Amino acid sequence: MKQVILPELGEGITKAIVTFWHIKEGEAVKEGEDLVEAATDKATFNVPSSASGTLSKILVQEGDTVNVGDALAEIKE
Amino acid sequence: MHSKQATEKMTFDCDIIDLGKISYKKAYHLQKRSLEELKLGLSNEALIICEHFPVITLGRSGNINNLLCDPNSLNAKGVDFFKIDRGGDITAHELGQLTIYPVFDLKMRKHQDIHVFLNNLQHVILNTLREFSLRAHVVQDKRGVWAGSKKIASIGIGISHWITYHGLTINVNNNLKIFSYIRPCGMDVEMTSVAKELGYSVDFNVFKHKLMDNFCKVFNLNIKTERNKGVKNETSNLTRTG
Repeated sequence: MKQVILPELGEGITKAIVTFWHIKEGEAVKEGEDLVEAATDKATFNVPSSASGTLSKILVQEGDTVNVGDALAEIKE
Repeated sequence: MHSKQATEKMTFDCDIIDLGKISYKKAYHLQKRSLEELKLGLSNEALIICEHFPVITLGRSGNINNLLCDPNSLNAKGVDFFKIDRGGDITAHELGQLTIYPVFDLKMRKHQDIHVFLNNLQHVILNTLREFSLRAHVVQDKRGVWAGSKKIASIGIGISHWITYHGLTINVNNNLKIFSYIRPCGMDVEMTSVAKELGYSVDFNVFKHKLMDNFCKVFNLNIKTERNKGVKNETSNLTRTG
């Protein structure tokens, strides 16, 4: 099981809002594929999957505010 | 695709793709294609330049209430409407306005940082306006560029694999009529243009080239080719809303 984390986005950026899940829970995903989109400032940032496998659990929903370093999802390899 | 100068200052090979007047949908597809090609190492970074036929776009963080008319009425006004995947709220495009989509790989740059990239976009706009003797400025906690209390340029980007898409738009010679249909960026702000501020229309091509020069300086670009990429037969999954 691998977690997908909201990475560092830039100096002074500590939070983002989850805006769109590209993949649904239970669907297959490839490592590096855009998994979830988060918005900060005037940017949308696509967070890639950290592993190939199945998106086993979505931990945050569209509209949620998340901190840099927070786990967003779990991937079952 | 990238080279180091004797000074160890990194430069970035970039293609300029001037689409001229084009629909939002076609240009959007081309952006996505340039993004995928850069991701795969098949092409250089790109600066996509265009003027859009009238269109209103609502970003991911946008509020539909900032569209001040019925979306279904826009078609009769000759205005397209799309909900899209860029940052920011609602904005509008029309002919006479210059829109630039930089497809840049931030992983290759010294600062892999969204704020630094957005700040640099604002520097490009400010430097260009200064060359036209137009005093403009940025406002703390608000993106874009302002002339007095009016907004003259807007910014909204997307990032995938740390490669940028979407970008910036500057009101150059457009009549600003389309902004009466929206609350730009979700704010009660008056829009202005270069022509309105100066009192006369500027040479659009001269403005475009000065903006390109400033992009090259601020982002250390090394222009490899300039072309007008054919997009006639492209398909896109972008669906008109309203």
